[in-house]
Amino acid sequence: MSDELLVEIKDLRLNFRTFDGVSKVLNGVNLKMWRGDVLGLVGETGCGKTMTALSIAHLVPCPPGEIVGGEVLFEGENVLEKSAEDMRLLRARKLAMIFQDPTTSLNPVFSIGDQMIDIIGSRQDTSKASRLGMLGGAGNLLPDVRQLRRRARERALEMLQRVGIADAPQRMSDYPHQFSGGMRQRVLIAAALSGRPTLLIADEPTTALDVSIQAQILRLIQELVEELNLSVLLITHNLGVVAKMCQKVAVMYAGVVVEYGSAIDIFKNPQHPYTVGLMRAIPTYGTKRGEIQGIPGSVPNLLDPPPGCRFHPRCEHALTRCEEEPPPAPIEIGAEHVVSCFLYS
Amino acid sequence: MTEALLQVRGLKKYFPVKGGLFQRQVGYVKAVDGVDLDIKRGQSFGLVGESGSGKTTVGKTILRLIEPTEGEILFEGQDLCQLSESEMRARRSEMQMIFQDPYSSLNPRMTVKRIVGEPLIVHKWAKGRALDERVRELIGLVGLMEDHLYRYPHEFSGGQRQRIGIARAVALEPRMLVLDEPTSALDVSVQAQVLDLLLELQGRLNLTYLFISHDLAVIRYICDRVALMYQGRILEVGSVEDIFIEPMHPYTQALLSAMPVADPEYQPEEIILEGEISTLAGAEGTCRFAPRCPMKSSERCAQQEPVLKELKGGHLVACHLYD
Repeated sequence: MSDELLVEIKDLRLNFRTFDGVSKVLNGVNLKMWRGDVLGLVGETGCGKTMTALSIAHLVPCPPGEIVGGEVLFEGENVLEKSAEDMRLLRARKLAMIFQDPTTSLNPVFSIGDQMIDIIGSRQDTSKASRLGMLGGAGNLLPDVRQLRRRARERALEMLQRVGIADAPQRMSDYPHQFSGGMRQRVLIAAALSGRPTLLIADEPTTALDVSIQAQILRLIQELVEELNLSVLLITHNLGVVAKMCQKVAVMYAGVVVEYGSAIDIFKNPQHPYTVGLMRAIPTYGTKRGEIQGIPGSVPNLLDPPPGCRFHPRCEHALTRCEEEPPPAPIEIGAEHVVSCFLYS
Repeated sequence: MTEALLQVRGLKKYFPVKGGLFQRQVGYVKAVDGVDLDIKRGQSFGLVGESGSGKTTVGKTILRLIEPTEGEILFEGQDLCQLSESEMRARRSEMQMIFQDPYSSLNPRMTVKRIVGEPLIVHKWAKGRALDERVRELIGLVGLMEDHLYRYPHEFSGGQRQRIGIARAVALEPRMLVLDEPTSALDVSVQAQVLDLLLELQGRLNLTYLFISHDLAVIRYICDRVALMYQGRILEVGSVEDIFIEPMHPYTQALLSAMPVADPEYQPEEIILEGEISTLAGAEGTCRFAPRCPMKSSERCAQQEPVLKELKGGHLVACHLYD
């Protein structure tokens, strides 16, 4: 783990305009990610995990989304200020994403091989060499394109074999529906990593898969992380997956990162009342009946969030301050362990 | 506690597969292929398996929401498969089902009062003021408020909707509930609330649960006895302690080791299974798990289908390793 900061999100605020009003989806997100980190982003449905991740790639749909404040620095540059073309290049070379549902991420009417080649080709075309080739006149154009395509094909095959697709040369001409869920997710991982990215954003990559397939995919991601020296932002609501994969964890609640720390700190020594509640709510190995405890109430409606700290209506330690003032900026309570809560200010 | 409430013998459900020019039947999907279960009164029986293992089909055939192809379902000694449709409908008041998706299992055009009261009206249990009182009682039982009665399902969160489904299911004072993944659509903090409600109701109403889930942690938390399904067959049955502390079948061992544990310091060595259920189906008359089995099976696994055998008090395994 180096000390180089890869991603830094500062006080990011994101609103969504809906027919019912403005939904404050992200309400001042602060997050740091170092190169080589495997960072888990956890939280319940609708807490803004995916939107935080999408904002790193500047992929939040705007409209209806609207970034109303904050910065997202990737390798020190604010991605929110980049032009569309610069962003496209950044995404092609540095960022890769895989999503929860591998079925909807693949086009059903093209073969797996064609889709892989297109993805790899779109990255190659932006390189200087190919642009020169394109400029070389019609005579040069055809062989060059063919050659690029051949190279893309080789790379696609290499990646498919690496992620464990059996009979990859034959299966390249198969269509997505001929692959099982686990195999599709492998194809997407192959496509995402074919450009040798720096950061992999994995949004619930195993939620749609069975336990035994989940284990296969997680093992594959772990191997590739080491092999390619990747940094990973792993978004999930499954705390078991986080415990297994991540060294660092950020916990989100209703559009705010409430706690950030090493996995050991978060699981063994949680400090924010929400994290404490979350840890109490999951049955783990050897939990006896009556030992788990839900957090009373439910997640707030972001169209009309409670004033002050958004967790205060469900919090057993809520102070009067929590109902009035927004929660304080992250407070450091240990080595790389920060909490956003008045209890610690 | 010792009396069997539900016994299932040789349950099979084959779904026809149609194909070809005239949509003729070309084969079967053997969703459930010879399942035996014994569920005792007051027990929480867990049925675990990966998707496509046939666990939901077992749950639905037990209530005859799907007609079984073969087999006996003895509920308090009476074979449900022999009942006529109207007799079965009357019997169903004693066994109810709770579904996975609280969003699609409630009619969006009915108020909560109507949803919870409907079984009482259909089975002519109550009307007028008695109905009203019973519905209020049920709503209180599952932890909802009286002012929720006149709202519609879309006004509730997932956890509250699941509570409405539970209130509807217990309205007729059933003896048994079939719960098909009741918490998989819910967030963890809400899942815990619903699990606790289910445990509380079980004690209060003396219910028997058939709890279907793929979440081993939830099964371990709520069940007394667990059965593991794989491709329509049961591979191992035992008490929670048997299954989770001393798993015998290689599939159970692999599944347990692959279950992510929410504890960064305790990460057991994993046994990672090759392949997938669908791609590596065992052939007829062989062990169905053999193609994925990490124990690199003996010749018998490819020649003979293992049957469930009792290893010790109440712990049954279907595997040639223990012959």
